[in-house]
Amino acid sequence: MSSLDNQWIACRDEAYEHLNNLESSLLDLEELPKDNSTLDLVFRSLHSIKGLSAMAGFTELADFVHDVETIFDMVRSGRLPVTGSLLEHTVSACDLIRTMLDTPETEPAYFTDQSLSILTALRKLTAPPDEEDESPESLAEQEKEEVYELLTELESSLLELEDHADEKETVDRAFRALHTIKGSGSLSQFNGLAEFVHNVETVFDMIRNNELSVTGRLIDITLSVCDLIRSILKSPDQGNDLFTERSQGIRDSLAQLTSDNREQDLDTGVDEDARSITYRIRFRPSQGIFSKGTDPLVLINELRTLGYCTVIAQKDGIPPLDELNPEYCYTFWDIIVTTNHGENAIRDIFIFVEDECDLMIDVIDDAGRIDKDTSETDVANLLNNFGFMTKDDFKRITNPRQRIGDILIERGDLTADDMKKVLGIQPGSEGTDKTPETKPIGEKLVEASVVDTGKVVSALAEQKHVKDVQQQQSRVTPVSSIRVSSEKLDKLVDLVGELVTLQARLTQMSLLKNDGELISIAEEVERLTDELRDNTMNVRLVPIGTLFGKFKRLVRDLARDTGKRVEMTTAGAETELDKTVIERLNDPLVHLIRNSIDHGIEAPQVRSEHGKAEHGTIHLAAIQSGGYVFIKITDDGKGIDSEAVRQKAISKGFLEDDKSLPEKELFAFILAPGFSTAGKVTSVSGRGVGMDVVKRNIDDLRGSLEINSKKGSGTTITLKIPLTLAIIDGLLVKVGDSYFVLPLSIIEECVELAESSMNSNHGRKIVNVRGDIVPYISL
Amino acid sequence: MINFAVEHTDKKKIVTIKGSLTIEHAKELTDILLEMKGSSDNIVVNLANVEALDMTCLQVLCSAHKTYLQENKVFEISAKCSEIFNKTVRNSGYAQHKGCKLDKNERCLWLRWADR
Repeated sequence: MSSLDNQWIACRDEAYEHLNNLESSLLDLEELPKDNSTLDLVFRSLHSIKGLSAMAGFTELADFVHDVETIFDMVRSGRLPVTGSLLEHTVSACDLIRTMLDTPETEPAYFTDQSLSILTALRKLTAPPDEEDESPESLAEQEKEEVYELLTELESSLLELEDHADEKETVDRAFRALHTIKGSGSLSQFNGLAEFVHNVETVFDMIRNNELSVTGRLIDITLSVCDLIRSILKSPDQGNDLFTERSQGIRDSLAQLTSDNREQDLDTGVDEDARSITYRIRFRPSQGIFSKGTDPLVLINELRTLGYCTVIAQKDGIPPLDELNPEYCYTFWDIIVTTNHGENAIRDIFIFVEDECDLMIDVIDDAGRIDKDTSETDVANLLNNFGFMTKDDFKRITNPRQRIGDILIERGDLTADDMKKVLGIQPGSEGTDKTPETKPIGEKLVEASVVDTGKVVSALAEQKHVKDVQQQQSRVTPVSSIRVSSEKLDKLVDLVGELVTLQARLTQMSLLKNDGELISIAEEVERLTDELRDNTMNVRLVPIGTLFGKFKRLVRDLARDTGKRVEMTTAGAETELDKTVIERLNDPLVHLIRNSIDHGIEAPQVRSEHGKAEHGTIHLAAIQSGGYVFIKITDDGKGIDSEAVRQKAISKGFLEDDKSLPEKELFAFILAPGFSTAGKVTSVSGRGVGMDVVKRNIDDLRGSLEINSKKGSGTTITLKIPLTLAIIDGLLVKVGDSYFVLPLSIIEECVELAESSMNSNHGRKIVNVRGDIVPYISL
Repeated sequence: MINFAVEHTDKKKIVTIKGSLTIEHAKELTDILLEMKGSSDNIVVNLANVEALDMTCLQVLCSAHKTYLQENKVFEISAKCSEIFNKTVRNSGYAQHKGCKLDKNERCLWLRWADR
């Protein structure tokens, strides 16, 4: 671990992210020790850090994290409870990991000592309790009870799956229950039972990995597994016999189920990586289909097994009773199915009724599979930008959801001419027709008798189906991203900065030369440079939540050290700020939070006496406004005593005895070096050497700081920070021989100062701007 | 033979059908409902005990509703239906949010299944 190789640099940033997530999840576990999803997050973060460490050749760290991960696997499987000690030692492990990430050159001996001490403490927690604590009988009974509880949990998950087969969380719950049952000691006395449960667990793992679907049969089989385990535990004496007698049947059923699935996949050519395609099917059976012994419902139900299906029966052709031949089929169906099986799989379902029906199958949404390389949307964007496309065409192509009229025309249920005629009817334009313009097109078409209600209903159902599928796909489509080192990004911003400067020179030069062609080129370069600059700036923007997340740990540790109870809440974590600004905000915010906890928030007892909740609150909020982000740190502590500040200011000679100042200005003294009203200096704060540094840091960021406080109620500190520091638009000003740049963000307006208005004010330096008297300074 | 019973109340006739409503009973069901139309303006068909159902009888029920509507009569299905009946209506695609053009007052037989 003596050298920091390139691979490690590449992995380090990612490892930091996982470490932050890990710490945050550990704190969440403190509140919700039984929350399985948080446990999974902890486990995943540890697993990722381990992987990254191993990848970078940091094997000692990878081994250490692996050991911690193993302990959390026990927690995940219910073999070890989440306790304060467990979290405390894991937090120490986080600290050690952070030390190693920050300074990989750390002495190996130090790492070995620290890691050993943490692992020893963690392993102690996993050691079985002393025999005197509990008798084997009571332990066995306890384990049995646990298994019963888990079986109930498993059964309830299975019943939920019966109605909502695609709910991933429920599958996870069933899987976890099986996993924990498998690990229970009460199963170990029966030969092969744990392995048997392991096999069932494997089936559920296949479901989790989308290799198998939840079916009624699978649920039945798993319920019979529950029954078998329950029977065995209730009659342990006959347990082995019961197991031998009943387990083989279940094993066979499971094997059949998984092999059926594989065969089905092969038969229908499922491409697991393929995204689903939505088909529109019109199935119009012949009138005599019933008498041939075919039930169309069987075919429709078979279609449902292919994927997400919307079925609309068209019943308009059913005649009244006296004209009805009850053995004729008058119904036909519009079916929309989204599936990753091909069109042939759909045709196969109808293969035996080919001669008994009209079958039309059209692709209506291919989820971007067709012509993937020449994206229609991209081309449409291009054509639209250059004005080669009408607004309607652009909308139609970029918004793939079709309108009802288009669907009906595509299906052949409506002609384009009929639709135009119906759309041409304007309110009041044809005698007594008072159809309001807002009436849906479907209703208009039905009223005009150009299409049946059933067909409009079907078109609406298709529209809804496609919309649902697209929404679902947009949720699951991962955002494609690449990880770029911040150094490269900084270099890019520097280059863009140079380009902006050069472009400004080009513009200047073109204006001086007064060459039309050059001016036109300069304008084009300016437009592109501006766009490039904005895009580059956007790449550097990072949500402030990444910073807020780190403070959770700080608040927890400080609260513990000071014996207070403090809760941190946040708002606007998604607000984005330049990466550099965020990095430089860390220290000032740490200081402000320290101050709030040490001086602001009172001890629980004091808070109770003042009628406040024992838990103090620190609220961090961020909001963007124009080119600035406002960050507020609010606590509900004792507030600042303005009189104490005043007295301190007088004693320090900052303020004259008799001078009174508004509170806001008084609080500004707190930002002066060496100013502290704290009665005592603690390890956390109170020496008066912090707030001036905070102010300096904020000033360096070209921001400002404001303090508002109400004695007894709390304090709010507002930081006003510019969105970015990288490139600032400015106004170049020449004074004498010197040039100055004023940031455009602080310039309200430029007004020409005419000679006449200078002379008309009798030497007073004021100017009349649209009726307002504005003073000015001559440079 | 369809196992059915007719109950008369002040305003309506309740026809309770038990057992299977499949192709072999479709003609008989048509005849029963046609006959009822002549004797009452308001028919309720109780399908709580239907044990099997196929498309033929679903069509007959839909046709009956249209027939009654055309003659300004009321044809309804009882509130409680057997599970197999509910399932078949939903699977067949008959359950819809909007009735046919004859259904002016939104009393289409199949609306309620669409909301479930």
